[in-house]
Amino acid sequence: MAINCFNVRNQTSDYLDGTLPEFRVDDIKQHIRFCEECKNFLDRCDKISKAINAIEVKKIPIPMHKDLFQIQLPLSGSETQAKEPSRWQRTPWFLKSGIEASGIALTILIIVAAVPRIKSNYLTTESNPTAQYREYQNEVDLSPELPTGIDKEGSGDEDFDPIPVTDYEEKEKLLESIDSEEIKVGNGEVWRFHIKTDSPQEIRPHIKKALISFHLPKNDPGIEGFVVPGGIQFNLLVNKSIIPEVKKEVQKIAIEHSDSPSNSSIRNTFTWYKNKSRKRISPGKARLVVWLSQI
Amino acid sequence: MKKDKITKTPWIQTVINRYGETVYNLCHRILLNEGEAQILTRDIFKTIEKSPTQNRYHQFEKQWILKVAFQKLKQSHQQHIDLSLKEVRELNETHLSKEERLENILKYMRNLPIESQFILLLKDQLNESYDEISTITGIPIESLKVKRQQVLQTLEEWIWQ
Repeated sequence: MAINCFNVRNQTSDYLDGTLPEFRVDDIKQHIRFCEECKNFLDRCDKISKAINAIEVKKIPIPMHKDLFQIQLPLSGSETQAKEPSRWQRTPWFLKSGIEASGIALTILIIVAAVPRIKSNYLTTESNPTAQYREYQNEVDLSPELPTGIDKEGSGDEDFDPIPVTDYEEKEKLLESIDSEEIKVGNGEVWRFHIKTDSPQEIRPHIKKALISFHLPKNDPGIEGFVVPGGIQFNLLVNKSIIPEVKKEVQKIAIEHSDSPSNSSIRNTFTWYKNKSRKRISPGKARLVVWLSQI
Repeated sequence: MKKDKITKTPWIQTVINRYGETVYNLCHRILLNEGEAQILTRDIFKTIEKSPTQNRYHQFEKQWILKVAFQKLKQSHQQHIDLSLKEVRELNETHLSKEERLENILKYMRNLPIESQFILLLKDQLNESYDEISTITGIPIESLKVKRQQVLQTLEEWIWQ
């Protein structure tokens, strides 16, 4: 029966092994008599098979034969020096997977814990005005009822009541009494001056002017004051030496602008208090917060 | 360790005496690196020694041991595989005659998949039967024959191009 080249190639393995039936072998011989390509193919495969058969069987070195598990490998005088698998490569797969998984989980935990800290350290209040405002939000209690002139760390001697202003003479008395008050500013403190007013926008430029007069940088966003729900806030980091003077100025402004142009019966009140900052403040500095709350 | 009843040597030593050469030859011819072949041979017999007694195929011992060797070679060979056939091109560029290329058949074979090399070495060098090779590699007999034919065709194209 005539066969084609495809059939001849399919039976190469059996033909080389001599396991084909005789009639099949005759068919192939008949085919290759006329097909040079198949003839060459079978000859070459036969040569390759014989070449592989002629490869010398490599004998195991005698030291390995005697004591395979104890001797140092590779043996000296080897053709090429091989790398002994490292300890890690010799570790069982389940241990390796466990250690790698734990390492990955630990790395993720460290990153998740460290990123906020790095971010907060990077965004220091001295360099970043936005951070100043954020810090202010964190620190300042924006409730309408602020404590009135109470030093949270003091003994209570510095308490005083809100100063409602009623007439011109009283106003003059109050202005005179401002200079007699002495305050001490410690390290790492936040000083809060609060003016309750029905017109924060009118008092705002006066506060700004007063702050500029203390040679505070004009480009500091805190010097403009932030408009927030309930009023306007000024939040700055200043030298602690100017705090007493600032207090006097703010107090004066509160008293001087107590007559509202809207003729409202509600009067301005001035209160102040201080507390320790939760965040680190450079030595010699203090945080100044002036809060103009809308009545 | 379990002892051989006749010779009273540890079982593993008997196994090494019987099959050490075959395993070492396969490792050496595939990895083409004596040091690595020595280390891998030891690794294979360590694995065999650690196998529980009930999992030792005493009846089909040879096939089982060569199967372990095949698995280990596959893992080891993963690091060496180069599908770019750069070595084949370099060999052909050296203007060797066809006979000389046949003498370097192992270098051509190194560019084949591990399975193909294993089949060729077991069949053509060690003259194992298809039944045994099928048990060792887990490939059906007819598929083995087709694979061998395809591998021979590939080698023929490389050497006679």
